Amino acid sequence: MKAGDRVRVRALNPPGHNRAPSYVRGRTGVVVRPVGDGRFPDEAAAVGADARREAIWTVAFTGRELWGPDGGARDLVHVDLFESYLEHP
Amino acid sequence: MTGHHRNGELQARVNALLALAEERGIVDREEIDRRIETLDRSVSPVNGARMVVRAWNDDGYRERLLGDAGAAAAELGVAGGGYSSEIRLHAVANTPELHNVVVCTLCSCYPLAWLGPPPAWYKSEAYRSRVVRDPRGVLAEFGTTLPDDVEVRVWDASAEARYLVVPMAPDGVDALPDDEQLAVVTRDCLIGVAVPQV
Repeated sequence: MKAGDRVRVRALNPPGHNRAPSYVRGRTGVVVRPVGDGRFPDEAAAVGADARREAIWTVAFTGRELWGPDGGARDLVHVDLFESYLEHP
Repeated sequence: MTGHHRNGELQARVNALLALAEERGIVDREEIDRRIETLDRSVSPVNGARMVVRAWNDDGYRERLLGDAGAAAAELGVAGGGYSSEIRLHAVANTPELHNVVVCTLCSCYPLAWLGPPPAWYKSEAYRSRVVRDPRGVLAEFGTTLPDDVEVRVWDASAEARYLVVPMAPDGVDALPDDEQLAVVTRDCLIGVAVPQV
């Protein structure tokens, strides 16, 4: 994964903790920048500091992609997402 | 941070957990007090204002701030509080063509280690749910009306990054002494719901 990639947020609904806001699940955006890496929260919620580390990406979504025709044509929402939340469409 | 806390019940739960963690040697009450004192003493939105004013007056600093905000903060002696080495600060700059605003829709992530605790409205469900859906409407309610052709970038801090908005220098600010320049960069300007006024 790299800046400029078009990515879609997986339609995730795990039984435990998850850090992908529901309003971006299933939505497509563009990777803007790498944030670095961090403890994968879904796993960290269960096992703490032993959780695996994973890359985090800032993904930009247009207002129209998120909210349909009522979304702002010149609005961009940036969300930081762990790599395994994302897939190439 | 969801919904309305019944504060008494929440406080009782915190106290019970704290007592248990202390009993088992996981936390040290003095260390907790020391960190709270450090937070009260050294961390406030003035830190962010100092970074912004320096960026207004020093192009080299501005470049460093936008490249690595944590290092640029440290350069001014703003250490970041030491809460978690995982948290990285990122500065985003307003221009005549774009305006930035920060939120945490999942909870209340905020550059606390650099700017101090967030305002209560930042943690409200109304702000968190509405600013991603209708940022221009929310900004207008804060008194910040943007021209239609300005792009709005909302930053939802949901992982390890924290965001700081670098507002544009208002006309006439360079005629003011440093302390007055600092005063125009309010906390709300650093979140992006306001713009500096001279």
